[in-house]
Amino acid sequence: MYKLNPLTYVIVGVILMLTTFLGFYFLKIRPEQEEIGYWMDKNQKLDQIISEPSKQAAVDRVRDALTKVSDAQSTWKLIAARRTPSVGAMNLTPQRWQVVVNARRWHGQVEQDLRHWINHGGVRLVSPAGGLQVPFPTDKPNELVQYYFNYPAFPFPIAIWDLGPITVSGSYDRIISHVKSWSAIPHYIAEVRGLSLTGTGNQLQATYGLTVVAYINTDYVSGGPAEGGGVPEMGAQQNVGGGQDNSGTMPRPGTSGGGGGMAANSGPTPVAIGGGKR
Amino acid sequence: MKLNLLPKSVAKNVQGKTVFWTMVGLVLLTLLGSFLYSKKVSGDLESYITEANAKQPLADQVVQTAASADTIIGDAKTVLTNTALVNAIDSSNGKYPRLYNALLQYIPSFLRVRTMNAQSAGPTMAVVTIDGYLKTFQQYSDAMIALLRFPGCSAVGRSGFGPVASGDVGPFGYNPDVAVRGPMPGYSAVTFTMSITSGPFADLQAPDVRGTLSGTGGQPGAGPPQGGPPLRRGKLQLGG
Repeated sequence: MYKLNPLTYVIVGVILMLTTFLGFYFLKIRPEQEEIGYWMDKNQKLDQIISEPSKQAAVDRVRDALTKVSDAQSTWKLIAARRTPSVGAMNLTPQRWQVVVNARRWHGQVEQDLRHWINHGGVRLVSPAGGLQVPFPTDKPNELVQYYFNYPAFPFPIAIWDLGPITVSGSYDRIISHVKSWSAIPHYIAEVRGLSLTGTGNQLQATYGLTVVAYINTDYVSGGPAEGGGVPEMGAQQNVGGGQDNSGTMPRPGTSGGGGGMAANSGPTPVAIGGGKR
Repeated sequence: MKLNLLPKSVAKNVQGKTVFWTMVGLVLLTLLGSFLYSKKVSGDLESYITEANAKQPLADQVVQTAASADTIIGDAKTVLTNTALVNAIDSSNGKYPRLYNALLQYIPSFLRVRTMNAQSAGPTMAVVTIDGYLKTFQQYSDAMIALLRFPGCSAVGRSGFGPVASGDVGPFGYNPDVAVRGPMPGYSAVTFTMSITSGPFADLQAPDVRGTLSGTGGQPGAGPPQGGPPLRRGKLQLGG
């Protein structure tokens, strides 16, 4: 039985040992070692995540976010109380045709407020010559909500009017004070752009661009079951004056051959029709 | 004398037997060793997995806590944006007055200013154009040097030096109805253009109201959702 050369046994034995070891190594040990490497990395990352500094950072992050939001909410409450139209000044809750009427009444109030604010600053409005004019709201109820009040393009109704270049005259100090005062106008948010000064005497003229923003303080926006919240249009009865181009505005009644089919009036200040109070 | 009368094959057999069993033993030992080592590696792996699985919920909790900050901010996006916008507008409204108030201190007394016009040329540059009157070339040079001292001013351009007709009208040399006076005799109508590229007056940009509010989560475009549910009388929130 043992007639073979011992060297043969040695060689065969070594081969068998190597085969056994390599078999275990390549088929079982190495894959598992690689997996161990992955899990070690993962554990390391998890250790970092659950470390005290990391936990504290997460808590701080939440606390900062809460503080930030809380501060913003407090600030916004003040802004909403002082610098947005009073509750009910522009009510979008009633049926949309009533909103058309409300919007005209409110529009007149806005123009009055803005003109009063300019006079209040001790400067004189030089241009626009006819007085400061806010874009006139359309008589199409659905477009009014959609474009004039930008709802639902924005998550809340808001009117944004670019009132173009405005020229006022007054002393340097009064002009500067007047420009700064736009930040304090009640019920509105006004933005001044590109101030230029002209004049060599005591009476200077200042020209600047003015954008007025009015966040509408209303709980609801009226919406019916048809056309995604709109009310049925009246077609030919509307837009008699023409000039509406999905901007939510229309020519001012009395300035270009008549206005809408309802609530038409003459003169720069519209007649107030409908309920609501400022 | 010792005689070994056994054939040589007998000794070879004994030697072969020993080597054979030795090798069998070694192979078995290798098998056992490999098995045990493999078992240890498997155990290690199992312990790492168990450890990771134990840590995972804690880590998830931490990650969730951190992520909840984003949710808090995301939920309050409207109020945050509105507040930031109003603050930015208020800050912007003061930019021009601050600029002009500061600029007046750098305008020499001999330069009679007719117009001052500041314009934004981007987030880091403002251009101020000053039209005015002065008399001598020395003043023309001095005015430019004086304006160069303005904080953030990187360049001043000048033009227009040279006597011009006064063009005075009216009973006393000027028309009281016109705010802008012409140059006195012998004076020049000059223009200085300042480029302000750094400092507190370089950014005169005003916030873009529509652009800013567009990011607050309203529906894209300015129309009701097509084919969607009817607009409901949902409670609206301006923010806080």
